[in-house]
Parts: sequence; C-alpha cells; structure tokens
Amino acid sequence: MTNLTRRQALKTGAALAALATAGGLLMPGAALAALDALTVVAPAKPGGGWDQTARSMQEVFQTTGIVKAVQVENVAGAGGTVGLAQFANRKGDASAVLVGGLVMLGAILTNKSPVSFKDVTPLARLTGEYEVIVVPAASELKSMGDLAAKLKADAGSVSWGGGSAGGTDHILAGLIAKAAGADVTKLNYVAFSGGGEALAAIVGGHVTCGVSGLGEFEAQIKAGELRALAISSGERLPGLDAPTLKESGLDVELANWRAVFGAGELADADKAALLDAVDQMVKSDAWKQTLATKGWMDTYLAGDAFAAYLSEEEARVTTVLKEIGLVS
Amino acid sequence: MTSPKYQPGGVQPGGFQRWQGIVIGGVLLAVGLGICVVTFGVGTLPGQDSLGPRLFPVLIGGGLMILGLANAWAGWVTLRDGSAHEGALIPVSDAENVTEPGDWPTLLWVVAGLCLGALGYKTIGFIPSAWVVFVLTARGFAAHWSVKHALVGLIVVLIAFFGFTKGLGLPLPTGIFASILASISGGH
Amino acid sequence: MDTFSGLLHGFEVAFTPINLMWSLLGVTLGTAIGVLPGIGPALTIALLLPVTYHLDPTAAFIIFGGIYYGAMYGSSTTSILLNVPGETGSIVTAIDGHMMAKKGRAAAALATAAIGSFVAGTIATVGLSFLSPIMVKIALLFGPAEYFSLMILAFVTVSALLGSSILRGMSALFIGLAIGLIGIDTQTGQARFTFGLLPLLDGVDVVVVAVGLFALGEAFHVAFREARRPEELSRVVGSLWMSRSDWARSWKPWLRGTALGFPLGSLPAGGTEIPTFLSYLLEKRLSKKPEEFGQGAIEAVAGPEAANNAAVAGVLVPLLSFGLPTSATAAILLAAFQQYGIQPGPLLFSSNSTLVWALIASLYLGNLMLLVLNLPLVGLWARLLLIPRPLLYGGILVLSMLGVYSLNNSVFDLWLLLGIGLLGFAMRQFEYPVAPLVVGLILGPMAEEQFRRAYAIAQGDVSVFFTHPISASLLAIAAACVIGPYLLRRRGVSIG
Repeated sequence: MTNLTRRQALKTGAALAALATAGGLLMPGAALAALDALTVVAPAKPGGGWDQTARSMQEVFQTTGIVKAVQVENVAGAGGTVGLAQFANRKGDASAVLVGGLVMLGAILTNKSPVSFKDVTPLARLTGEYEVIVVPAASELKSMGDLAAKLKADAGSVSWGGGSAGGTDHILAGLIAKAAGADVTKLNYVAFSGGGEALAAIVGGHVTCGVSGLGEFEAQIKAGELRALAISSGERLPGLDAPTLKESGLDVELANWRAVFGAGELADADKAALLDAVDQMVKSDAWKQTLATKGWMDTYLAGDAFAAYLSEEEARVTTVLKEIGLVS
Repeated sequence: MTSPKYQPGGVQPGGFQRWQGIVIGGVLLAVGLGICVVTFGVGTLPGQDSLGPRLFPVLIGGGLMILGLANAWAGWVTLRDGSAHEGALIPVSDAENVTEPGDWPTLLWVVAGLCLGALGYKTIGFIPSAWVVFVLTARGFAAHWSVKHALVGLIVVLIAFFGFTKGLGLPLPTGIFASILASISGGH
Repeated sequence: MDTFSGLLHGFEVAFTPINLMWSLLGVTLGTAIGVLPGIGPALTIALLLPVTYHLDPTAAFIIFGGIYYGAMYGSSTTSILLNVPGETGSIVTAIDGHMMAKKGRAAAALATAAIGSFVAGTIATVGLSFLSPIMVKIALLFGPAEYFSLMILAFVTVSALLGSSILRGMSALFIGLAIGLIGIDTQTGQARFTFGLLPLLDGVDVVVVAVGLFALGEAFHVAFREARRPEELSRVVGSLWMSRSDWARSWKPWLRGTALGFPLGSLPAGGTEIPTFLSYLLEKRLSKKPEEFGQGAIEAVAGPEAANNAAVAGVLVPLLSFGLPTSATAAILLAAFQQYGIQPGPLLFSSNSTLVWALIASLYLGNLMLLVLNLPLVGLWARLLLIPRPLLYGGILVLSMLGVYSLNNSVFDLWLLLGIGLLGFAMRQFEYPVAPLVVGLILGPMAEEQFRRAYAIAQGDVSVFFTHPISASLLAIAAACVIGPYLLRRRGVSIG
C-alpha cells in the first residue's frame, strides 16, 4: 500500500457517499429475471468461511442486481448442523438458501444429526480450498515420507493439530494415516476450536504436525515459520513449494469444498430459478474478483453433477470416520 | 446480596426454611447422580482420544453428589438444632434471614411477561412481544396499570426495533406487522 | 521503518479530520453494541465489512479499532448500572460494580472503569507497539499443558468469590461446571447432555447465563423483595465523582490489571475473562479490606476493568505480528485484512507498515476519544438509576431479551434465559453466590479441553503438567494462592 496517501486523498471525498450507497448499486442491464429477495443462511458465527461465503454472495447478488435484496442470517452451531436443521424446516421455500460444505458433512455423521443433506436440495458447489500438512520449521520431519514412516511405526506418536473433531482436517489426517498403512484407530488427533489456537500450537511445537486449509497457514509458510510437507490437491499449486500427497506416495486427494443448498422439496421452477441466479453470480466479474481477493478456488459444479459428487463424498467420508472411530 | 434493610439472625426459621438445606442437598445429589448415569450413555468408540468424553462428567457429577450430601447434612444439623445456627459447614447466615413473606404477585407479573414475550417473539413479532414484556414488568413493579408506562414502553421497543433492523441491519422477527413494516422499509 | 518513526507517521495519517470522524463513528457504534449482551464487536465488524469495502483500508481499520475498544466501554457501563454484562469480559465488573451503584456510588464506579480502561488501553497499546515480537515468542511457549495450569490458577479465583460459606460457593461452582458439560465434546464430536435438543449442541452460551443470573435474577429478586418498598432515589446521587481515597485505591489495581490483562490477552487461548478473574483474585488478596469485596469494593471494578481492556489490546499482538486470530473479533479482523489483500503475520510490519501504524495510532486515538466521551457522561449515566423501577426493569428485561435473542436468533435461548434467571433468583433467596457458577461455566470446558489435549499429546503421561517449567510454576502459584492465606492467618494468630 505504497500509494496509500494518494488513494486516501482520492477516496475521502467519496467515502461517505460510498458508505451510504454501498450495496444499493444496481448494475444496469443485468439480470433479466431478478429475484426480489433472498435470505442466505450462514450456519456459523460471523467471520468463518461459511459466513464469508454467504456475505460475498450477498455482495455479488446485490451489486450485480441478480437479486434485489439479500439478507444474511447466521445460525451458528455444531459444525453447521444447527443451521441445517433449522433450514430443513423450510420445505418448498424458495426465498432462502443455505451455505454448507465438507465440514457439515462430517458434522452430520459425528453428531448423529437427525437431518442430513437429504432434507435439502443441493444447488451448486462454489469454492474449495486444499489442505496443507505442515510441521514447525525446527521439526526433524523433512518430508511427507518421514511423516508417513513415523506414522506407520507408531501412529500414536504423531499428534495432529487441526480443526474440529470430524471436520475436514480430521478426515484428511485419517485418510493419510490409512494411506500410509498406519493403525488408523490409534490416530492421535488433537482438535482445536479456532484457527489461531491450532496455528499457535503447531508453530510452538506443541504438536507433531498440523493440518488445515492452505489459507490458515500460508503467511507462516511464507515467513519460514512452518514447513509445508504436502498439499492435498491433485496437482502442485503455484506459489507453494510443496509436493502433492500423491507425489509423496500417498494416494489421497481432498478439497474442503463449500456449496450452496436450497430448501427441501423445492418446486422445479423454483429450483431452476435459484440455479440460474447462482449461475449468473458465479459467472459475474464481481464473483471472480471476490475469489481472487479471498484466495478461494473456483470449483463450480451445479445441479445433478453436484448431487452425484455429494453422494460420492458422503460415502468416502463415512468410511473414513468409521475407521477413525468417530462414527459407529 | 446484603441489604441493610433486613435484620439478620435470631429468628426461628419456619416452613420451607427449615427443610431448605436438606431439599437443596437432595436436588444436588439427584443432579449429580443423573449426570453420572447419563454419562454412561455418551458414546465412546474405539480410537478416540485416550481419556474419552466421560471422565470429566463423572468427576463433576461425583463432586455434585458429595456437595449434595454435605448440603443435606448441614441442613439436617440446622433442623436438629432448631436455629439459624447451621453447624460448622455453613456459618451463621449473614443476610436476609427472611421473616416477611415475599411479594409473589409482582414476581409473577414479571415472569408472566417474559413467558408471553418468549412465546410471542417469533409468532407475533418483536414489537408486540417486547412491549408485552415491558408493560407487564411495569405493571408488576408499579402494582397498577399505567398508560404512561405503556407509552414509554412502546417508544423504547420501537427505538430498539428500528435501531436494530435499520441501524445495525440485523433481522428481528416482524410477526404480525410484517406487511406494514415491509411497506415502511420498502421505500429505502 | 523503526517503531518510533512508524508510529509518528501513523499519527499523521490518523489525525486527519476525516479519520477523526471515522474514529468517532467507530467508538460510538462500539459503545452502542457493547451495551447489548448478544452483539459483540465480531458481529458488528462482520456486518460492516461489505460496507467498508468501498472505503480506504485505513479508514476502515480506524472504524474497526473504535468498535473494538468501544464495545468494552459500553459493556462495563451496563454491567455497573444495570447488572447486565454486555460482553463476557465485564462479568466480573458487574459483581462489585453493580453493588457500588446500588450504594449510590455509580458515578465513582463508572469513572474508575473508564479511567482504568483508558490507562490500561493506552499502556497495552504501547506494549502492542513495542513489545509485540517478544510477546509472541512467549505466547508460543504456551501449549495445552500450560493452558491447563493457567485455568487451574484461574479457578482459585472462586476462593475470592465464595461469600460466607465455602460449601455454598463450591455448590455454585459445580452447578456451573455441570452446565458447562452440555454440548458437543470438542475432542470427539460426541454430544453430551443435550437431551436431543439441537440448540444445546453448541453448549449454553456464557452470555445467556450471565445475563440470566445477574440481570434477570436481580430483577426477580427486587420484584420479590423490594418492589413494595419506597424507592430511595437519593441514594443514587451520592458522591458524583471519585474521591481522593477512590483514586488512591484505584491506581494500583489499574496498573496490576493491565499487567495481567495484556500478556494473558496476547496468549492464543487467553481470552478476556481469565485476566479479569485473576485481577479480582489478586486485588482481594492484596486488599487491606477483603471483606468489602462482593459488597462494592472499588478495587474490584478498577482491576478487572483495566484487565479486560488490556486483554483486548493484547489480542491484537498475535494477530498483527503473527497472523494468529485468537478471538472471534480477531478472526473477523483477519478476514478484513485479507479483503484488502493484506496478510497479517510476520511480514506485515514491513510490507504494510503505513496501514499497521495508522491502525495502532488510531487505537491510541480511539482510547482517548472514549475517555473524553465517557467521563463527562458518567453523571448522566448514573442518573439512569433515577428512572422509576417499573420503567427501569421494563427496559432492562427488554434489553436482555433482545441481546440474548440476537446471539443465535433463537427463541430457545429466551426460554433458557428465563430458566437461568429463575435459578439465579432461587440461589439468591437461599443465599448461594452466583459468581462461582459463572466461573465454573467459563473455565470448566476450557480446562477439560486443555487437559485432554495435553494428555493426548503426551500419550497419557500426566507428568507433563509438572515437568514443563511454565506449567509447574503456574500450578505452584495456584497452590500458594490457596494455601498462602491460611498459612499467613495461622502465623498471624501465633504471633499476635
């Protein structure tokens, strides 16, 4: 931000006006069949990935005029299953959509949630983030191979720091242990509630290794505080000096995807309208810009293709969680 | 809390006061026992962290049972000695050895207001239900109905509603006024 | 850029008229949302993010800084006056602060809170400017074992909150611990004591319990015991300002509160509550009149208020210098940085120094602005208590419901609030102190979590709590705090 002062000089005059009209700007000519109002339910507290996804959708829907008035509602709790349960009550209601993702899938299974993705209508996968496995810079583990060998020798001796139990990070730790031929039931996974707490425990060397979304660790990897052992993507990622898990001899690929769902028992016309709105949003420049600033990957997959992907993921995650011992 | 208005000590506790320690002790014992029983219904599966989710509930449930017994015992000592002297575990009460009866009507007005408020929050909406809370609370404390209180309440509730929904942009249930409010805010 | 010139440049940026206006907007908004129990700075900043996207980053962060600091001020005001803690960090303030207000010392309580917050906020911001790199290194030494021992030390606070009876205080503590068990077990994802109720999966929110016990419990108690007595309105307008002895009794707690709050706030799992507990404990142990604690001791307001504001500044240490978001608000601030394409972390001070220093300068500014805004209003705020009871309690109950509902947009929480209010009322009738319950509720789940993490990492070796030097020291301090007073008393008896 070298030109801060100049930018500020330019902006100060317009700032108040911008504040007043923000969100109310309509792009002329956009959206033939604009929806009037939409509630985007974020099943998490403000600040997390789902909340930010919901608020980005709100922003893009409104600035492009795809939907006239958008409201974000936070219904936090239990890996999103509280929000899901509440949303499942809106059968046939086309005026709201729910943000969710892989973490919710894990939570449905571990919490024995009475509602599942069967009670809502999958609309589209929107974004994804790959997971990275890291160790503190001072760690004796130099490569994913070292970690895999240690795991195989004694799975309990490797403590993993990551997010909530049964979430994406835990699932990946289980998949890796399994692929390394280690005793998955001995997986020593230590769940941390916030990203910051896990990161502090990893950098401080209190756990053997850490696993989480690349965004959580990126700054520390760049600063040399953490060493990235592997990334959970299919191909290497630009700007990250780490091999994929497959290159390291572990046949695992996992993305923490985020998606949007409609209410259950939607009428076909309503479903089509929502799919259309999401499609317009994803193809807009504003959305692409949002993805770029947030560092999210575009993993857009809509309609039936997404529904098929969802059931594949469901099967894979169920197997892993059973093996870890979180689901009976 | 202590209030200088109450004269402490010296009074023969009567009615529930006499049984208080034993009843409270019994409740704590039951809760502690309940926690321990329910804990064994909490799932433990192979491969979870070695300590498992059951240890702390059992410790806390056990602690509550011990405290329940101690409360009951202290209560029994009080009952046996027939005075405010509560034995070694509980020193002589330092406040409100209450002799005068409580004001049940006022309390009931306030609690009733909150119950109606919670019942109506999502159904009839924030404005009327919060107003009910305000008016019934005021009715309880003032011991009479008052138009002034009702008006002040309405103003407070309206300020809260619009400050919330317009100022902060947070949704509150609109309930039965949904269409009216929509027409007011429709012009923004 | 070195720290001094950086800071100086930051002040240049922050002290433009338009930025002063943004700061004013931020602190005002922050104070307003601090008053509401359910709405904190995290939610407010999240709501503002899309709006501020069109603003210059410096202006946006000046607003956010104001909201962040302002919320703590607003929250202590309602804690003292209405017994409604707006944020968890000011629960301890309510204990003695509200008692002071009831004794006609509201203005002094508000003043010591405001000045203490200012002193602590300013010192902590200086610490943030100069000590961040060292603080982060220390913070990283804390692992689960150290945190568990810290929790044990914080548990000792209960001994300062017991009231007249150890048995009753411990009973309250264990009720709190039991309520804390409700919800999903973090280490295994298993639901405990939720009885199939979805809203209980995430546990019982501390704010619901604090507002229920303090605000509703108090309202019910007054309704039951005092409503028919004539109101003594004159009691409110006792001394309108801090007396000489108030100053003398306040300044050390401010400094000690700051010394506890800033480092503990900068710990990734420190939070704002633990420093306030420890400050209360420390002040009571050091006080010549410990019997005044719980009855309206000014030290018990000055210390914890300084501690929570210093902790709030401490949270920014790991955020700015390491990119570690250690609270909900820090997480949303991190998201805000990323929205502008800025990555907080080890490189932030070198890559975006202008913005960082402008933010830090605006924190000094916001703090000063809060003091200037709040002090003259102290007398006015205290007059809130002159409102006749029917209207005052009507307003308190509406405010409590509104705040608690907005936590999760859930009517279930309203019923929970009412139930806990009745529990608080009953405890009060039977002379069970409610403060230990809150301590148990806050610390219990954290202690369990950290103990099990430490146990898992050490693969079942419990000796880690005694072999890690920091952990062992903390446990030793905790033991000294428990045993110390008894030893001293015994010695005092034998000598005297």
